[in-house]
Amino acid sequence: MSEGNNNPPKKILIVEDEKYLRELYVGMLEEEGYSVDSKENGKDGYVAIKKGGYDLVLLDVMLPGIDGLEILKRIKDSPSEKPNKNIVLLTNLSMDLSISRGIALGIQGYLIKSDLTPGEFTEKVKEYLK
Amino acid sequence: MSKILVDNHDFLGKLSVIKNCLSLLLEKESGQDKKELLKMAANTNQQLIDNIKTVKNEKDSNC
Repeated sequence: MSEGNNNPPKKILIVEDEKYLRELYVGMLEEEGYSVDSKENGKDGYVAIKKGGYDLVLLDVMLPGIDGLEILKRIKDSPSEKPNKNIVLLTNLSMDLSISRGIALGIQGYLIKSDLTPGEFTEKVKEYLK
Repeated sequence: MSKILVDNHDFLGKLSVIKNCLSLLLEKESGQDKKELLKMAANTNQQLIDNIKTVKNEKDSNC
């Protein structure tokens, strides 16, 4: 575990509706020593982001219920109770319009799921948590 | 030739799942023959991902 010192583990929230990917990401990041919460739809994701306190939120764009961009808009209008340090969009398209919209709504970055292997995904997450 | 309408986000999402599965299998596989087969599947899957992205980007740039 890379987080095996005396500091409390960094907190990550994953909002991803694709069950396999969600479980894969949770498992990989927990193995790295992070504390990981996950939500499978926009409504639950919004509630968790609104509550806040995460070092990193990984937010899928396409979600059932409320989509990722709508969540960002709501958070911009009414900020989280505790701030989230980083919010990163998850998408499959590198030229997705959602990325530019997300940047305008305050995201710190984006990850293209279809470009990344599990190992590469973990390394990118670590970079956001440095 | 008939065409099938698919949602590109959903389709790419499923291909991303396959990409992740193949990548994990490749990491764990030690047999050279099986590794080659998995690489072939991974490369073909990546070609599909790239093709869909190209078509989507061309469509978006024409809008």
